[in-house]
Amino acid sequence: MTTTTTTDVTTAAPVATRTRVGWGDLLWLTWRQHRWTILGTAVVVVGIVAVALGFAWHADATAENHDRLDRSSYVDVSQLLALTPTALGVVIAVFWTAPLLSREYEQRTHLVVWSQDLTSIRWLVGKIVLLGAITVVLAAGLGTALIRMMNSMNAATTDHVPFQPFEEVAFEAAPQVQVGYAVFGFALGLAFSAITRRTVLSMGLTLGGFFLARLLVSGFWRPYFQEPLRKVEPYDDSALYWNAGNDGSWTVNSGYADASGNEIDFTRVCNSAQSNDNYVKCIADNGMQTFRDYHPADRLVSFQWFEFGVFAVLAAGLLALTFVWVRRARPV
Amino acid sequence: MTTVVEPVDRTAIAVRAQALGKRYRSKWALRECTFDLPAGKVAALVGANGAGKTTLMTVLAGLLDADEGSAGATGRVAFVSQEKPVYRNFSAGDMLRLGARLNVVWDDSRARRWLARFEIPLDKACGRLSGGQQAQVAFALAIGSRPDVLMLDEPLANLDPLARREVTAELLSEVGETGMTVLLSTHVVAELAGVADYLLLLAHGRLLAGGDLDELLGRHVSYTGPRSDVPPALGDIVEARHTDNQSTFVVKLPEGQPRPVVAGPWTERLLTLEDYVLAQLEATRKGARA
Repeated sequence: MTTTTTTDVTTAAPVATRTRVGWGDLLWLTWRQHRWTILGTAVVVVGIVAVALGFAWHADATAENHDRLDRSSYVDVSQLLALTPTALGVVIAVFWTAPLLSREYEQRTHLVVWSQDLTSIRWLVGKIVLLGAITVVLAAGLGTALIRMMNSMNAATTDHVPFQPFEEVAFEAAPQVQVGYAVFGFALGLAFSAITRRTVLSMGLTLGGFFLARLLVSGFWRPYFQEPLRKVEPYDDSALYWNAGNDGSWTVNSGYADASGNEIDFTRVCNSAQSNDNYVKCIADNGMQTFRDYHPADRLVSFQWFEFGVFAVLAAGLLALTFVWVRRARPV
Repeated sequence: MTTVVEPVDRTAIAVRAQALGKRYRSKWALRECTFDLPAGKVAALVGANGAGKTTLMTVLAGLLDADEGSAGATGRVAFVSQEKPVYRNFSAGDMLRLGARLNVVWDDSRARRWLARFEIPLDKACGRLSGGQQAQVAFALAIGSRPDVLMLDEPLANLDPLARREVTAELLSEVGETGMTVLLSTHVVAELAGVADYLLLLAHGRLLAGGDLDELLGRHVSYTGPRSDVPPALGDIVEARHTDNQSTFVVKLPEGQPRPVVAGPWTERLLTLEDYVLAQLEATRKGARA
């Protein structure tokens, strides 16, 4: 090779020049880095969706002669499936986003990627938008398929329906609730990832934080998203147990009330009653009634949107925190 | 021909720092750093461990914001941190694809030539390459992005002696072809002889000396002679060492005056880069103790 040809090659070298790094490039990077995580999760979710839709189809097709179904195991499997909504948010949080930034910090690769022609913020926006979009699609698809399955299973049953709409499995499987959890998990994992910069620590904190938030909201806040209605009825020892829930309503509290409907402690005055009828009569004579605080069935959808809202607001806050943190924290 | 290839403004500044300061919590890692690095230079950023080399470089590369003063580089900057990080599950080819995707300017042939030069396999995951090979991938990525300023933090650290020489030679040839400015930090001064033509000497977060290397070295002389308390020529004593019957002085000659001629028992020696750096660092250490 002579000097002349070398010079020619250098000057004619195909130096690609552009004005900016585009979304396609961020998409390439995101896919190249996370393809196995994305594919693994997607395969499982698509599998569950397929099984759920298969169950739904089966329940629809055999609604008239459901006696021939092996119902108990059938319902068991479908109830097991119904637990997967809880799992998706956790998987996204712990395995997608909790290592996302911390692994870059640990392996120092953030210095590589942020010293190319794109800023850390633009890199972060790209990752959030692309992975977030996949998260939303997976969560919404899973929720839709599971709700479809539950509706079909309920429709195929004549007595006590297997999925009460306000029960946790059914309530939380709704697509908007699913999206809320997944988005929250996404943002929670990312925030811990940015703050701790340690993958294992971030994964552990995310796991704990996710369940804690879910528990607090579903156990302590959800019953009071709206003021429950109170229904006061004369004492009837069978009604207490059988009335609750069969109309799709959700009983959050029940007990004894005086004639004007205020909650009272149960009195033992009637404990000496000899027969059941005497007991009921004694209760009535003492002016005692039973009450039930409940949410009517038509509140279901607004409750589900409220739950989505709670987690969406949390997610937005956590994402904002992550941006501030990444921009402010020293990268080295 | 050379004059045509050279940038029109030969005195253009590639990297500039003005009263630059950076602190971590209350401790200043860098203070009052002021220098202008002319374009096309190969500058060595030298200092003891913990002198603030990495901090200065990350601020100059724009990865870290300064707490006071200002810093800036003209044009595009490529920075390779001292760990030479690469994505472990990316192959060397993937790393180049990353470079092509994430840079607005990308010279694929140049990057591939670098990898070929050091015989790095393109299809093997970087995690399975040796530390030295990973460093070459990181260098190829930086070279391929055709930077105006290339910043390398401890580039030679995990290379074998032969690779060190080859890397510096390749870097110089890249500088010759593209006219880029190189700023590299190191505490192994000996390897910079013949490579660097500009020196930035850091100690305890402050810039001890900075300037054209030939000029700096030309203004300093080492005298060796019989035991004496004063050197044979006027100037600032940078370093003085005494044995029982011999004294050695490193003297900074006053500016704008001809070199003094010394005779008699004194021998005069020009300083090497290593002598100069060691003398300066030694002086700060003594100063810090006093």
